[in-house]
Amino acid sequence: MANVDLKNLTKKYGDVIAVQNMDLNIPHNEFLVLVGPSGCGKSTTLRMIAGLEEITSGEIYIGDQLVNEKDPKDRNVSMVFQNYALYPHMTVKENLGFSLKIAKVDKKEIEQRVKEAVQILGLDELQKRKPSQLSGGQRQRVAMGRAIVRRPDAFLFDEPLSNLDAKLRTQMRTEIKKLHQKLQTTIIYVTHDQVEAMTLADRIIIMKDGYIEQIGSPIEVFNNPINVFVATFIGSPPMNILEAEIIKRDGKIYFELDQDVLMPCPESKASLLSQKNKVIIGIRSEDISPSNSNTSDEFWYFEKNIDLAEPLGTETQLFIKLKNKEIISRMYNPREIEIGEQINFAVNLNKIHIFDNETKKIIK
Amino acid sequence: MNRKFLSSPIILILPSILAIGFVIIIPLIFSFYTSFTSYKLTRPDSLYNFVGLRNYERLIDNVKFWKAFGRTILFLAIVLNLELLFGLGIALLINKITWGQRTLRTIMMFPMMFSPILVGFQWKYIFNDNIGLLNNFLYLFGYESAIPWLIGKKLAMGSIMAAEIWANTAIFSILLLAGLLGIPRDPIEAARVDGCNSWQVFKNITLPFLMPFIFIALTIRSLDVGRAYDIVHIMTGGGPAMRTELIWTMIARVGYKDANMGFANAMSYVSIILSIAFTYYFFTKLVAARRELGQQ
Amino acid sequence: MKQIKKIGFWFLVLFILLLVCLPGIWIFVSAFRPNPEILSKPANWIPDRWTIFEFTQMFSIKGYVSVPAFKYLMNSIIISFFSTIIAITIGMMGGYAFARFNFKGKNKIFLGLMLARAVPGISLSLPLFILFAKLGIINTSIGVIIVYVAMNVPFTIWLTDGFFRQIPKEMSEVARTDGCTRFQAFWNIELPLAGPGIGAAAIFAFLLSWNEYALASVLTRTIESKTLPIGMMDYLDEFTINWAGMCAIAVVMIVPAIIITFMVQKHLVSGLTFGGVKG
Repeated sequence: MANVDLKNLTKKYGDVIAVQNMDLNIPHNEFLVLVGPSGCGKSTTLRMIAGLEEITSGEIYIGDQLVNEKDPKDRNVSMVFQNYALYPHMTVKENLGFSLKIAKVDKKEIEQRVKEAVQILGLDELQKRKPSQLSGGQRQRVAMGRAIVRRPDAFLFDEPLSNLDAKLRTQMRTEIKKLHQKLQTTIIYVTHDQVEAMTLADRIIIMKDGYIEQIGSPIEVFNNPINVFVATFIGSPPMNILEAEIIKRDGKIYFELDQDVLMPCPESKASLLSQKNKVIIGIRSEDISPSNSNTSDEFWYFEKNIDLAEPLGTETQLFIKLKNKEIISRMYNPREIEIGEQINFAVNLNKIHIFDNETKKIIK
Repeated sequence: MNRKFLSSPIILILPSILAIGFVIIIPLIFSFYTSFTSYKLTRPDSLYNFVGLRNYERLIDNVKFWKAFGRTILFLAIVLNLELLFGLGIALLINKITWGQRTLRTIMMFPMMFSPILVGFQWKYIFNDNIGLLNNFLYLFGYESAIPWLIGKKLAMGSIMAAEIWANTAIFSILLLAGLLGIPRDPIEAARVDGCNSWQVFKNITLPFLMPFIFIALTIRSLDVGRAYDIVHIMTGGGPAMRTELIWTMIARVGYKDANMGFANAMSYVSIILSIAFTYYFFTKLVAARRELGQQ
Repeated sequence: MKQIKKIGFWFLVLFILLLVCLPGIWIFVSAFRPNPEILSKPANWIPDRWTIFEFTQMFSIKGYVSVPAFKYLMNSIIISFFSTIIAITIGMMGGYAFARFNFKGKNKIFLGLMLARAVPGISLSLPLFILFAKLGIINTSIGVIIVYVAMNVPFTIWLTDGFFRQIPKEMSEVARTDGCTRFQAFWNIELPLAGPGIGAAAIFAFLLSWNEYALASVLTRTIESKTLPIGMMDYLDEFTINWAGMCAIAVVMIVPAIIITFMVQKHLVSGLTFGGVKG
């Protein structure tokens, strides 16, 4: 039952900056996902909130209480680790009840709360087993159960699904989401997997090199990435990125995507580009698709030979080259494709992203 | 929180350092000082009789000492190599056995539990020229003239080495066996498929993998080389005619029998440097071997 | 050919087994027979007459005591027990610090501790004798206990460091977010998990204390303080050795060592190698 606030949080290891001046307000009951490549500072942030890592400067509040100087045990947060960290010498039941036993909670109460957790997670038949006798998914559940039993102010998840195989990961993802709806608590979740981030989060924070790159709902960060990094990090396959010269012809602005391949600039953006010679264009693969017609004003059409086709069933991903860069297009009505075949592509001009070629930030 | 956390490893290590400081460092400083005096236990005031480097000069001129020193190095070189070799042999042997391997391993650990002093007495008895087990055994085969194992000029040193090897091969065989059991099967099978014969597999796969284990064993062993004193002390006392005198027995004789502390402490320093050099050498080798296997 | 190889193989195994075991068996057998029979020629492996004379002597059941072995046994037990307990406690703290913390000069301190252990007992015995005489703890159990603690601490640190490293760091972290203090996490989680390794370290400490001679021979020279290895020398006269008595006291020394070692021997090996290879 608490919000978590970070104020100007910084963590340095010697001269190496892990987290830089981070400001963040996490309201009660939010499912917040920290995502980013390894070494971006997301785990360090989580561990600072848990109290496992010292803070170099800044402040952390949990439920409006400053916890900088508090030991992990006094912060009333629960953490679920990547490798589960179940106590191997205790049974499932003992694992679940351990934190309450340490807190000297009344035995009946322990019994009651362990029972609740067991029911929520469907661990009934496993209570007497030791962790070594459990499968990966079961261990994961026990690890979550251990966190639930404590009734913490906030749950901290550190890449909890990355040790599971793909199928189980999808299943556990759903369970975590349901759990959040059931428990109504703040969850701070760290992952490097953008799919996990998209599917779980109320709000995503994309981090890189200790800085927050962007904060927003999954749809927001997907549709309006603030810079090239976020644009390529979120979404699969990653957004196509092309450097383009700006060419002015007949009072109109064009982007030169390849030799003699000129894409018109949407009029809404034209005024922003008067000073620029060069930009970075980002187009998601679903916004470049094969088309039979070439008449609509909202689209720009070009023809290109196919380098490679990867059929996925519901869609086929087509690989073409522009300026020697590989571009992926999605074909939603798959048919047999021959390599080298020339296809007419349509680009949705309203959906293209234009980034500054120096700052890599969105131009708008 | 900051301060408490930072200082705690120091607090945790402090008792260890204090204990070692009291029992090892302070005495060493004291004996370092006395090695510059003519200190004799029988004349306490001689503690303040500073003689400069005279003990060390005497040491350098002392032929007996250098003979003992050379003998000690030779003794260690032979004994450690043979222990390693026998240990490796026994480990390979036990590794081949599938049935009763555990029991056999346990039995092989037997000598580790023997006090060196006991090992000394035991082998003193076995090698006794008159009543010893070995001569008794040879007697059965018609060797009626008693072989003077502990008195003979060359035999005595060999007998002591035999005792030392008996007592300490176990640590090698046990650790190397653990190493052998831990070798992953894949590289060995891959090597077989690549056309290696047994010897090539051993040389190219097994041995490199065993290297860290070999150095663990050598490091552990080198910590205790000084305990050979017990065995020699009992078996021959450095005799006959100082033919088995090692640096450690010489220290004991000069220090306790002759009560010449200053000189004995000067020798002690040489022996300490020797032991530390052995340990340091194997320890750095161990670290290097570990790094090679990427097991940092 | 294969048959011959196999027979040769088992012959070799048997030979090594005999080499390892026979001296011990001889000691055991000889402890239970009269002295003259030990000296018989050729060697007699199965005693004609079994006797527990030497044991009754040692433990003064018949009132006459030549060697107060019972007193020595008690000294040995007290000294080994307390020095092991203290060394393990202190060493475990050190091992935990090395396994769990990063601090300046960590590797150098570690190496320094190991090298301190390499100092031969005989080289230490002279200065320790003088120091202890000045402090008035010569010929006392306390003096020897202090010495053995220091001798055992470095190796204990090495072994326990390896074992604590085996336990994932998250184990302690999750316990701490579960509401434990650092000490509670250690006590409830890490210590039980490192238990086997600590047992192995304890055995090594015990064996060293139980069997040590060079230092004890200088620091304990009274009946009140002598340990068994020193007491053994009582059977040594100027010209003769009482072999039967010596074998009997040897049995008293070996049997506890064997029992205690075999209780944890499985962990002993893994303790040594884990501590070493992955440390």
